[in-house]
Amino acid sequence: MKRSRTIGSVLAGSVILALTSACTGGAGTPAGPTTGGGGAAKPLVVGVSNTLAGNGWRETMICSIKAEALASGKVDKVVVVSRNGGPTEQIQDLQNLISQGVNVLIVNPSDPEKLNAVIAEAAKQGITVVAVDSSVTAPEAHVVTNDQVAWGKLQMDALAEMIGGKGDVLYMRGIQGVAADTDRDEGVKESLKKYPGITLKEVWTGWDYTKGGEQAVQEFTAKQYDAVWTTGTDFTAVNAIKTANRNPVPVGGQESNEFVKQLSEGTKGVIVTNPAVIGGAALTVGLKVAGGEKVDRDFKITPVVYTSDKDAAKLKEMYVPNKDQTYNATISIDGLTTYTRDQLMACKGPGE
Amino acid sequence: MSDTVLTALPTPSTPLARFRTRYGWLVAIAALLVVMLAWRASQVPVFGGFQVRTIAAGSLAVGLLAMSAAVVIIAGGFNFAVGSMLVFINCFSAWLMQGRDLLVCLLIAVLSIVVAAAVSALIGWISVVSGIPDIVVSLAVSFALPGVALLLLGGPGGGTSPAFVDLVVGGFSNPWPSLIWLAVALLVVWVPLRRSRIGKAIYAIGSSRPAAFLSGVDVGRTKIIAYAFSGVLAGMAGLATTAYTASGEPRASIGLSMLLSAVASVVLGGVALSGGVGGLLGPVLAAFVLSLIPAIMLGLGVDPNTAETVRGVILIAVVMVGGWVQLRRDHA
Repeated sequence: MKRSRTIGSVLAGSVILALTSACTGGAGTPAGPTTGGGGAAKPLVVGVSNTLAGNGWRETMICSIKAEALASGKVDKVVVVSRNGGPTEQIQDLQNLISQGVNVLIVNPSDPEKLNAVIAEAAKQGITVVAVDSSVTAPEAHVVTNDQVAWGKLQMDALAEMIGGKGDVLYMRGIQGVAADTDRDEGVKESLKKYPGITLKEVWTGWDYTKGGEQAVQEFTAKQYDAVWTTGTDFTAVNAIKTANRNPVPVGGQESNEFVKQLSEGTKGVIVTNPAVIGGAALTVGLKVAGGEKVDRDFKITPVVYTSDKDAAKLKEMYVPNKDQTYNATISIDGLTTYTRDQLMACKGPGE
Repeated sequence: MSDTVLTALPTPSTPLARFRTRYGWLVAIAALLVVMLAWRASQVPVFGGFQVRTIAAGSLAVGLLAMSAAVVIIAGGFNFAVGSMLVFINCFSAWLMQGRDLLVCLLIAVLSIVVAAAVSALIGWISVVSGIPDIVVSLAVSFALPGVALLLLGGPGGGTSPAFVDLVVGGFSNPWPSLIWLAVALLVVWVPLRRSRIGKAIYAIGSSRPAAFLSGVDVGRTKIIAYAFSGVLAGMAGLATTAYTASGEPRASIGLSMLLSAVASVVLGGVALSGGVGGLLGPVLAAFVLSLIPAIMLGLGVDPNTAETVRGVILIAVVMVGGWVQLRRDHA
């Protein structure tokens, strides 16, 4: 009896030890920033925090950061934390990245205000912080975003021109209360001041392609709309009109790979870009700031408009054949990204 | 008369053997924590107050919630509502604390803990009076609480006083407040309870309800008290969350993921899900161990999402080894 207990506890202990040693076995020495011997600027470590893992747009954003880090030649290593969660998890992720000794932090914030304390702490430790894709209110951070107000306005303007300034538009929004959605709505409302003949039917898609498609089928089954404004659930809306056996009407959206293909093949519509490679632009801004340059705090990227009527050839070029339907087809941003197309597709940072 | 039944006398155990059965698991988990802390320290250029505070403040809410879940599990029940209680108290306190000074915030904190204890005791009372298993009652309540939180706040919002934040989780290089609050929960709430008659009754009903009943323990009352204490600790976890994010967030999914982390800590902390075995220090240490895994993965350059898989594998291994040891003991 006694012996078996001893065996049991020894075994339990050894399993726990084996578990830990199995983990520690692979532990390398920490690769801190290697200090350059001469007067050359020492290579930087870049940290990336994202709270939507497995989302295509965000994955492209991260790839563009890695590619730009490689192309810039100033970065030693990119450390990415991509974990599904909210502000609580992100605060912890940011602290772990700070502990890791990063010099530049690129964060896609899950909340405009809750990260302020940890951003202030990072700045205090001499780390450059850049918020990308949506804004933070922390004064220490730089903010690089796509201009969402302009995005909403430009798409509505283009659709209104296509349907002669009057008619019923299916207005497919994103998630209630999210900053990007509120901004786009502001732009749409501004555009409609010029087109009093347009009426909107509002639905909420949750930025979900499938759900948006289903809603569009229901709406078109009930009624023939004159155009569809989408917040990005674009190609499923085009398919939905076919499914509902209605006449094709202009659809608006962003540069989702499949939507680019549809427009280049003759579907009527408009693309307003919302580049995922804004990540690379954010890193460029971050490296400038870390290098001591003066840069404006807020940096808004103005969207580009492509219509099926005028830019069919350009859209054919834009389509990325070996990528999936939801892949964001913008490859670079003039003046803010320096990597090659192949570097972006490889999605490899320095030393990977 | 000739048929005398012989029962073997239990052999007296040595002090060492007693220590091993009582504290063996705790020593193992503490050793694991030390190894992991050392490992994390070896990964980062500087390991000082900031890094320790990251770990301590990050584990505070999960540690308190693990204690909250453990009290009911020791009493032979299962409180499904601990995660939702955290969300509810987080929102309730953030809703009241916004724009108030420290003194008012402290009064609100006390009120929040009282509310949590009362709601939690109500779960126990309904279960005792109706005879419905507590896992069902607490599950029902766990759906209701985030809804109430959403009614109060209407979305992410609320706030608290900066002084309250400092008091609970400290500045960025100050790990002490978080550690002190965990110590308070252990030494001021748990130790006196465990030593009291009520504490012994909690272990008794967890070990064997019929035996406890026959020994004159009021099973129903003990269960309600266990739930009340669980509520106190879940309320503290909610307040820790309020301090950590300086706001409230009424998302039901937060409650669910916190519940899972808490139960994982309870299992890894040596508390048997069958009840009557274990303490509250183990789950707290386990909460630290589990929250160190993503940080260490990050240091290794592995995708932190893989950390969830590693957590799962460790838990399965621990439960299997624990079960095997238990089997050996029963057959010994």
